[in-house]
Amino acid sequence: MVRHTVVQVTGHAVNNRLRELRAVRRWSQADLADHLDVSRQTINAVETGRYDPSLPLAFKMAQLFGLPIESLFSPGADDTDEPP
Amino acid sequence: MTTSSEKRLSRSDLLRRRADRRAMALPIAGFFAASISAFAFAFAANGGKSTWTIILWLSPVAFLLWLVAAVVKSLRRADEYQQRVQLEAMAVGFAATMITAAVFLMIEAAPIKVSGILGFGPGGLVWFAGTAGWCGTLLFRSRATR
Repeated sequence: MVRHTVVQVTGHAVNNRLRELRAVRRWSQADLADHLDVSRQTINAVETGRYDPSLPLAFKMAQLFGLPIESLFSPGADDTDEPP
Repeated sequence: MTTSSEKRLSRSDLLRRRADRRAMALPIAGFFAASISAFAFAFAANGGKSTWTIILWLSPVAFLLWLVAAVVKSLRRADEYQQRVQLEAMAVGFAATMITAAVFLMIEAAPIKVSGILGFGPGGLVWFAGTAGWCGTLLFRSRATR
């Protein structure tokens, strides 16, 4: 059973399950960075909610984990409100 | 939080670092060689102001232009997060340069002779402010994701 550890940061950041999915595969951040052809710094920034990835990178992540993009990323707390 | 095993660089990091070193080594070495030559020549010529002296003093600038081209190429090689961090750092460096230059313009207009107080021209301090702003921001922004 996978424990859900969703990173939630205040402001505009989206929540993501990147760390959890990476842990299931026993990958280090550098391993995941190798698969996605980005820097380890970028993976760290996404996992800790400091950076929201671009749409192409988000799709690449979803494709790598074999999941739909919406199960990998979800709106942050501030973004869930209904528009006025 | 990252463990020590996660701290290794990714393949993309290594390739980029290697390419950056290759691209920047020559312009940096050339800049220092040209600067030292200019100082040595100025010392030997004992303050002569011929056209050749001016050309020699300006020769490091050619290597700086080469370095700028290398930095732009490095920025293109960087991934999306690194590009953002670099651009933020450059924006701060640019702002620091402009503000320092503006401060010197105001002081000179006052008029206060800044060169006499500092022992060197305002250009040096403007350059230092820009570089400090750029590198300082880069270090600050990447500290948490290092």
